[in-house]
Amino acid sequence: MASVIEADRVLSVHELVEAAASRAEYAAWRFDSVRTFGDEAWCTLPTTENGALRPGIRSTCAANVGDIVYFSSGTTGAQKSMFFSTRDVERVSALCARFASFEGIGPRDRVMVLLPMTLWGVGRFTSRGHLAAGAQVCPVDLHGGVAMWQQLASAIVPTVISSTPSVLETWAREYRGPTVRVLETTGEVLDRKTRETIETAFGGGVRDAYGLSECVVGVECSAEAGFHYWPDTVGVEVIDTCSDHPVEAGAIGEIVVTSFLQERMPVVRYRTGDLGWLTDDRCRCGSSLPRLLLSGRCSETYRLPRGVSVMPHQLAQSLVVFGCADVTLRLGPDMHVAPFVGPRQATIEIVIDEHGEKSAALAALFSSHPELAELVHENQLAVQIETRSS
Amino acid sequence: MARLQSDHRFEFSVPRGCTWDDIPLTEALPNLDGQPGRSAIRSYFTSGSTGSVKRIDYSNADWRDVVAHRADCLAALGVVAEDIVAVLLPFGPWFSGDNVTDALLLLGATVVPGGVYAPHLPAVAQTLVNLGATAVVTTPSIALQFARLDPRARLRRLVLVGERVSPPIRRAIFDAYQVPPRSIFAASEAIIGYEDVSAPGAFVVDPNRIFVEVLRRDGTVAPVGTGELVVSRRYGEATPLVRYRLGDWVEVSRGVRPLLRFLGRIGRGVSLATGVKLSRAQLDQWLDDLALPIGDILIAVDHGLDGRDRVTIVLETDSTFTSCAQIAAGFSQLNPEVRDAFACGYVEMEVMLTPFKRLAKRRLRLLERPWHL
Repeated sequence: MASVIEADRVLSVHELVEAAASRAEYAAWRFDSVRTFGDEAWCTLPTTENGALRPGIRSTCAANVGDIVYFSSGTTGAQKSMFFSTRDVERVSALCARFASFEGIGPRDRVMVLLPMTLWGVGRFTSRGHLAAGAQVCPVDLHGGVAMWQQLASAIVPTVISSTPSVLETWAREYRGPTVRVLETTGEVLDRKTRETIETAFGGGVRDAYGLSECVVGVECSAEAGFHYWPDTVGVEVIDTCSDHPVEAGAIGEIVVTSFLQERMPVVRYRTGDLGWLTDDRCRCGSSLPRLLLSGRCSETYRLPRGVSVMPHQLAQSLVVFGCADVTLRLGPDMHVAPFVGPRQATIEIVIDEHGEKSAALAALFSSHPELAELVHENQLAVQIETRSS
Repeated sequence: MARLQSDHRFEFSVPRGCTWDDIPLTEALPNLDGQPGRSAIRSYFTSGSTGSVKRIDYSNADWRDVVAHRADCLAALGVVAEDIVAVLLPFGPWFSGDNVTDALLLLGATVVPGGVYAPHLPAVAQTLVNLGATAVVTTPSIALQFARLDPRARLRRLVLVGERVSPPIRRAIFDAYQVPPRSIFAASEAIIGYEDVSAPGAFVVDPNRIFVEVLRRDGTVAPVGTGELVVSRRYGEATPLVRYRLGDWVEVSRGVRPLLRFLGRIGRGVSLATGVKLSRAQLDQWLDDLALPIGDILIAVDHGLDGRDRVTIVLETDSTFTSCAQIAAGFSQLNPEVRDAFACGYVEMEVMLTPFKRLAKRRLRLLERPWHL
């Protein structure tokens, strides 16, 4: 894998800072004194949040510098776009190739990538990463459900399936086929019971990965003791949610990430909304790569199937013109723990002003949150909008 | 010929000393099982005539070639690096979405991979307005559906693939977007050519990439004339295409470059909104598999101006053996591409069972409106 990484050299702190300094969202940041990631000047920089990122001006002198645009709902409720240059895609894919090699995936493997192939980058990055690792790759979107996945798996005979925990758990109940050596998961909290269900049905080991639409971070090893990450590709910090200062080594705080792979839309000190801690202790797997361990979320988050996470205030913000007063998630009878799977096990109830039109509110919600439209279409979620006198 | 003769996958069909004309035509893709990859490969699928899927492999070199081929077609239709382009086509496991996306990136364009999943389209429409999108690559049906969404981007270019663009559809799309649509003629197996801007309906073929022939009604194969399209691709080591019958009825002429006109599908099949084509043979196979006594059967596909399809099946059979719901479920799962079109939200279906009026052989009638293949 060394050749893949060398060919797609990561950005230095200097290069990243230079790219960020020209962007409006970082205009007021004082990058001058920053020398290395995590130095004193670095730690005094502000943090960014979802919705704050903006694309920069494209270089017009470079040849073949196409951009690809993915979707992000944003914390403001308004739609946001994530821009990746062709070079950025190559770099992020090279990191995914490291993940694959770390999991022992190589030229003998056939990988069925069962992830969204449109709107969000995870499917493309994962597919290209496995290709870079030398595997044969079959990109498969989530449409069609279990019957479709089963039919394609029969044709592919995968040795690796890459998807979300809830998708694999749903499929596990009906999976028919040979042993799948590695089950890669991402996008959702993976609990012990779900891991066991997947491993029992498919026969292989589950390897979970952690990342966001904005920044791919790390991957688990066989010891299942946190996410290993490569400090040359991603900078990970843990900060106190009140003071924004770094916490003591090993203490829990909010995870803040910096990507050294994305130049088109730099991601610097980005608040993930996840709580966790870091350790440099040598892992039982023998790797000396640092690890990130998660412990929860900073604010209330609805974790839904297919890796969909939404915060109630995001939904309320997207409906603010309708006088949105309340957003509530009502769980189905068996929904005490995440991930939530199965038909219509959850209902999001939204209350808007009596003058608001329900259908228009629903259209606005789906326009800013296509992931919810998808879950409703697939009968995995219901959305009820009620009106209330102001 | 030399490369074919050294490739053991063709050792039976291309013996030493044979000429091009000795190579038999084929409807089957080479058997790829057990083939060692010359470099990492990606696999896509297309539906076979039996309802099972056919795998189409691309090595890294193949993929670069097929992306460059598509990029040249898009460039010939006016797409430039400054364009912001939405790709509203099926992505993996189908070929076109990924291929068009990579081709646009190669041209230096900004690409929004929107897909064809109906629940996502309102968000895609909003994104295009926010970004100031200038072009869309999609199928005619989805172009019509997308035109109904509010808000709508102001486009400069509209590139269509996947379905025949008949004059009425061309006019309807022009009325909706005020942009003359241009087409690329392609299949999952091969990219054929791009529409000649000065001759709508005619496709320019790059003879350095694709060699086209026609299988005429009299059974002869010729480089020009009217007949079934036979293609040989001059690149592609993972899934070689040599004298491959695509199932399209075309007219080929040769001036400075080969020029091709699409006249219809062989077997008078029907097509669905996402570009899925169903041949008569596939439908006959499905009816065989139902294992029911069947008299007259009508399968009608109405392409609505909202971009959605309404499939109506009127089946003359004994209703004690089946139900409307069973027939509908069976049709919607006829093959993975049809299943995907249903799952994406583009097809509505109605099934009616009628008693036998008379005992006779099975008679299948296909109806496609408003444009007939």
